[in-house]
Amino acid sequence: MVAEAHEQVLIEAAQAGDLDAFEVLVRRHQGPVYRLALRMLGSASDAEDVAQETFVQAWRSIGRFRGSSGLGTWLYRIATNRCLDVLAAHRPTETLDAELGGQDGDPVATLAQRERLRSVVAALHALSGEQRAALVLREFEGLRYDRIAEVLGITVPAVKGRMHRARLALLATLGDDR
Amino acid sequence: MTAGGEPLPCGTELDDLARQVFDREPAADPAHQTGCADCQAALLRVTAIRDDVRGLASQRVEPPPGLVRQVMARLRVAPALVTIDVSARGRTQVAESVVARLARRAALAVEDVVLASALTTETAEGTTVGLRVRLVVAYGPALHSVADQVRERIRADVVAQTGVTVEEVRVSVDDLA
Repeated sequence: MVAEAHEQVLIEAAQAGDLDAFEVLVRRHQGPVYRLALRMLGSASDAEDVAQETFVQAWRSIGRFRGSSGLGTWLYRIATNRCLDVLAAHRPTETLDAELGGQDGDPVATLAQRERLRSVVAALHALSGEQRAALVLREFEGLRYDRIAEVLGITVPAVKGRMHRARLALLATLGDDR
Repeated sequence: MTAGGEPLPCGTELDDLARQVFDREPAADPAHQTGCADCQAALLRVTAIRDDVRGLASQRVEPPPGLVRQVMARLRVAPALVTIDVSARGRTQVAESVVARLARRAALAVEDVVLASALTTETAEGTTVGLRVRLVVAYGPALHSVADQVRERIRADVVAQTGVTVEEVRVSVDDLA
């Protein structure tokens, strides 16, 4: 099966009810959706739940998907809303450092590096859900401002305002130990 | 570092520096910035923080291995069934999606087919199904000939593996690879 191409054919097949075509799309998009959920929620099990829910909801509403901005953006939107719902309902979970993978090389450098990454994770989680969503979509998923606006359902100036507050909060939290 | 939205001692807004570092926007006042110790120190700190954020962002995150399977298991509940055998010992049925999957595999086995999607259309009472097949085909061969080969292959494979007779197979070539 061709890797990146023919997304539109797969989407149309899925819209006609072909679950196998949808499975290919799930396989293709699971990485970004899970990563977004993990950075938003900080817990691997919460992220897995949200990723599952995102794709189940996507299947139920794929008939209404109109591909103006691509399936990836649409899935980010579903996933972000799910994450914000979870955060609104939620007791905060404290498994934030579970996902810092070790890296090869100098163990001392690695230790210091892990410490710094852990402080970034903690600073991310000190942000409001809305601010975190904007920052994660921008700095982790590399989205343009207009795409972020689509994902969040707000205007580009509103995205910039949110990003401004998110960055200042991040700098204030992280600036002290540097 | 200054908290919240407070400007630096020199009057520069921290967010201007943040936008410069994170979004690669040009400096608001390059001449001032070059000579200002406050700005230079703040730029260094903001850059270090940006690098740490990017360091975290570049960590590989793999989705859990069972994610696709779990999603699909939730979506495949209560499938429509096709009866493939009735005997005194009992009845054997398969999900329509199983027939569709066999058809898709069969279509993919035909040379020049690079992507295939199959859905059952009408399922008659007994043991026949119709199929709707969509293809992406490599550029080159005559498309009607590829479509005919796909039909033949699907009929043969589905009847061999399930006993289900495939009636009409509607084939469309949706794209060329």
